Amino acid sequence: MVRFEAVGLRYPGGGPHTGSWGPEALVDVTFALPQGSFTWLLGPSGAGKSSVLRLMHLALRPTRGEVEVLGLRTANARRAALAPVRRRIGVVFQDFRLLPYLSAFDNVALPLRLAGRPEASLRADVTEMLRWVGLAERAEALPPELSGGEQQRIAIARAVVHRPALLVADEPTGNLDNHQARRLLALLREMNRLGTTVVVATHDEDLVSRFPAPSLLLHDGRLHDVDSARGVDSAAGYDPEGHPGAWPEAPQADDPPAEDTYPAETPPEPYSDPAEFPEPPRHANRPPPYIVRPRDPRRGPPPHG
Amino acid sequence: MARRRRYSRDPLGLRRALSGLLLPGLVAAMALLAALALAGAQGAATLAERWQRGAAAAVTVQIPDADAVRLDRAVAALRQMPEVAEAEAMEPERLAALLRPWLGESPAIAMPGVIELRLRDQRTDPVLIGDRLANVVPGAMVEAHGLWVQRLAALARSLQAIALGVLLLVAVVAAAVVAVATRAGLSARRNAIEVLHGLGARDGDIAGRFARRVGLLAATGALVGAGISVPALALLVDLAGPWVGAESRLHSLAGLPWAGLLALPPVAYLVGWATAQATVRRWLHQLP
Repeated sequence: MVRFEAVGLRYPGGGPHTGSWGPEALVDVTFALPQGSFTWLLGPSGAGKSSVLRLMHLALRPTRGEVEVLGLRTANARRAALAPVRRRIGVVFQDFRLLPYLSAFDNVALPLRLAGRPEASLRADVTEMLRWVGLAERAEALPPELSGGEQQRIAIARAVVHRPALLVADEPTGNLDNHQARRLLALLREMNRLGTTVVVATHDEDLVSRFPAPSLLLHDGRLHDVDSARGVDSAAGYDPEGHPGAWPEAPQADDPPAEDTYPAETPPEPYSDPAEFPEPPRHANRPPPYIVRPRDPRRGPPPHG
Repeated sequence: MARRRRYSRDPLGLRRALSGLLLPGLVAAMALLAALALAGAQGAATLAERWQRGAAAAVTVQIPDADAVRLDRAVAALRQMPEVAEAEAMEPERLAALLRPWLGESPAIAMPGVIELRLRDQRTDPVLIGDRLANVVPGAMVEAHGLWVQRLAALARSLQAIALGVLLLVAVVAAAVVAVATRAGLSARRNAIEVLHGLGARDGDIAGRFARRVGLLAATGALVGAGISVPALALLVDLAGPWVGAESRLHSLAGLPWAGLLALPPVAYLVGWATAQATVRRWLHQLP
């Protein structure tokens, strides 16, 4: 599904000479996320969360190591091979990245049009998706005419309208108030329930505590630890100064499975035609050895203590 | 609904990013230059052909201070020579008509007598004939047209080459203009392109949208330029009428390089399309 293998990433232009490379933004990041999982990506600003996400949605290629997304090993793949995989990935950005001169409808329809869907069959899907995010009446509005929360929901609709296999969200609640953030999370949760693998980068601990799930913790470009079932506890006890030993290395299979603690007053809007989506395998949301993290032989012993 | 239908085919907003009159205007100006070059090439070709057809293999003999006696004596002497196939004194009216473009209607200078010769063998040196004729009719001079025809044909050919060079240069400049305009469009739509690229658009999708838009603008400009060039070229052909034997205005319209003019818009579309494709694809390679 998504597999990082001793990934190192450098950005160009770190020094006074063009062509030189900056320091490693990611160092030996290794993990694997299975199909249908929901994963938090946590860490302070500058820890490399966005870099990991950009590697996941193929906006970057690793400088070393290997990133495998939806079966494609991206490090040495042909450039033309990336586009079809990108079309199976939905991305939600903190700054939305909507096209300001296209209506909400056209923004949501973009992935389907890129996939070559005929206009006649695409209309119903887009309208359905707009209703799902509660913006059916604003279909003809331009993004600048919409509020931040509405734009974010359009961005979500665009990210999921083509039923992506992988949904990646980078600080999706950064511009939203609490209510809207919870509503957004309900949408992401619903997508995950329908079988999409979801990865969400955030530093909103409140959000994480509302929906416990396995998390990846980044600090200074290194994957400090992976917790599995006890996502909520680990995230709550997160200390930016870094006490990696505080998080258990091995998944705790006997812990109760994480359940959606989403408050009842804003339940996810039901999808009208559930038969259209196959139910994900029930074990997808039950975390035992949920995140597999092979030990990188080059790193030697784990960085505990 | 109207807005939706309009934008669904233009997700990059290129109608606004690549709009205005600058690109079509520049292409129209270059199409005008190309039309002029085309007309020049065709004119040079016509002249060369005409000169060669009219005067090939002909040798003329000039008899200064020609009176009928001297002229008859010269013709008789020439007909005696074994290498001369045919010798005919030119009618004064025909001579005047031939020389009119150079000398005008009523030349102030005395016209020499002119005898046209056709030789049995093209390789005969006309100078030897002239020497022998000068013994009979003093002052007679042989003029070998072939030499001049060669020089004029060479001139016409070099004019043609220059015109083709101008065409090539115009195409290159047009490509450069298109490349600059495409880059401007790229930077105006940088965010949109990155979004589409991130959504999985192939390079060909994005480059194709730019190329079709730019090609359309270039073809429009070329159509306008070619349209403007028609009256201008008709005027020029009219002025050059005496050179190419055109008699009427309709005749001068028929003398325009119509095939070349009609080819200008499609050629401009191709140049614009290909240049935009190359520019956009190279630009896209900075994205992963």
